[in-house]
Amino acid sequence: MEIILSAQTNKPIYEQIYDQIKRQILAGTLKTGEELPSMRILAKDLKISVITTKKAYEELIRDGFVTSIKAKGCYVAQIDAVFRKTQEEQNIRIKLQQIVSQGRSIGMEKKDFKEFIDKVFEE
Amino acid sequence: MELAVSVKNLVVEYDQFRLENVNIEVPAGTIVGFVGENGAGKTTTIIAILNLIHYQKGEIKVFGKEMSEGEQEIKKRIGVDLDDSFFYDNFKVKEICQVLRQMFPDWDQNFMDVHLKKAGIDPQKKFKECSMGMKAKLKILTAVAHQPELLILDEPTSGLDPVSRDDILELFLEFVQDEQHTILFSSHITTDIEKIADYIIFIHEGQIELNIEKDQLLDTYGLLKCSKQDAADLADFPYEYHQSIPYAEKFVIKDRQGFQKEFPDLTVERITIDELLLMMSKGERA
Repeated sequence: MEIILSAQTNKPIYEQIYDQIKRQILAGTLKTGEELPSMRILAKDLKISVITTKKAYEELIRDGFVTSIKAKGCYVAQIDAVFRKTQEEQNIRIKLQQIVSQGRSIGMEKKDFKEFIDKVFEE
Repeated sequence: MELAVSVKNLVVEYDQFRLENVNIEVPAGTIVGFVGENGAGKTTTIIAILNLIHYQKGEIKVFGKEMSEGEQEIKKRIGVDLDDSFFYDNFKVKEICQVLRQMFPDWDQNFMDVHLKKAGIDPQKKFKECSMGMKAKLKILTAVAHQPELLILDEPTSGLDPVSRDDILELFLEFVQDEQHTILFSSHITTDIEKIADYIIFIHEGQIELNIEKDQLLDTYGLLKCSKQDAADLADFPYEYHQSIPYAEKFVIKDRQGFQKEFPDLTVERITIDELLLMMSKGERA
């Protein structure tokens, strides 16, 4: 597992951890059933507070990427193809939202976007 | 939530100084950082918790009990590092350990040996010959070696270089691997607190200004610097502290994201603990 934390971004530390573990699970570098370090060990290794790692893990569990077995630990959950696809679609949607708001700021309308998309598909 | 330490309405008065209705809660299993400028009342609060000074009013409980319910039993479970170590200068490190071993039945010499070696402290060295970093580490190690559940540390990292401070933070994080273990530490090196604390308590002129989960502070609070004209346009947007500085106005905003939405043209940055402390002492409260 790899986690690189940055103090320079506006993104909260727990979110950075969440994103990076999620990415590695979706990419398959963290495999189903693989045990994750405990919250306390992860906090120690990253030299951050336990509340932060706890929050990251809770969200990973909530979103179905990680399962927690009481008194044993946290494991990478079974990720099926459908789930992976919805996650990817979600990512694309977020990127599109950014693009749309960027376009709007210079006065682009829906039809302008459609033209753009058609062009991209023709290429 | 189980509390390792609770302080309610504490009032301490001496000649020039007053602690005013201090309330503190330290949840078991967490690291709580205690910050404030020199003379704000950090040490006074800490020694009051340890029942080392007389206080006029208030209720202090450690592990849910007042000191009068069995001070010795309670103190056995606390590891303390105050400014003064009370170690004899001419004692060798080895001899200090021998003395402490007599005092504390649960003394873990193995822990001591491992960590002295790791810290590069020669047990044959006299205390007075140790460097500042070594002394600081030795004080913390002896506080941990008798296997307490709660560490209370006053400025444990002050005067140390970044490498030694990092070693000490590592030791703290190792200590809290046990979920029941709790740390309350004061520091004016706020980057240390920014790294490892779960909660932060700000004290200013004898009063608690803010008691907050660290992540919440770093993720939601913001610092706004803007012109006088912009400041006038902010109208009713709530802020916590305000300070006029040369050529600009500074505000502490509680809801950074909300502010940014309402005023997209102004930039509000994350706030550091240092900046918040400065705003508390040099700015005025909303």
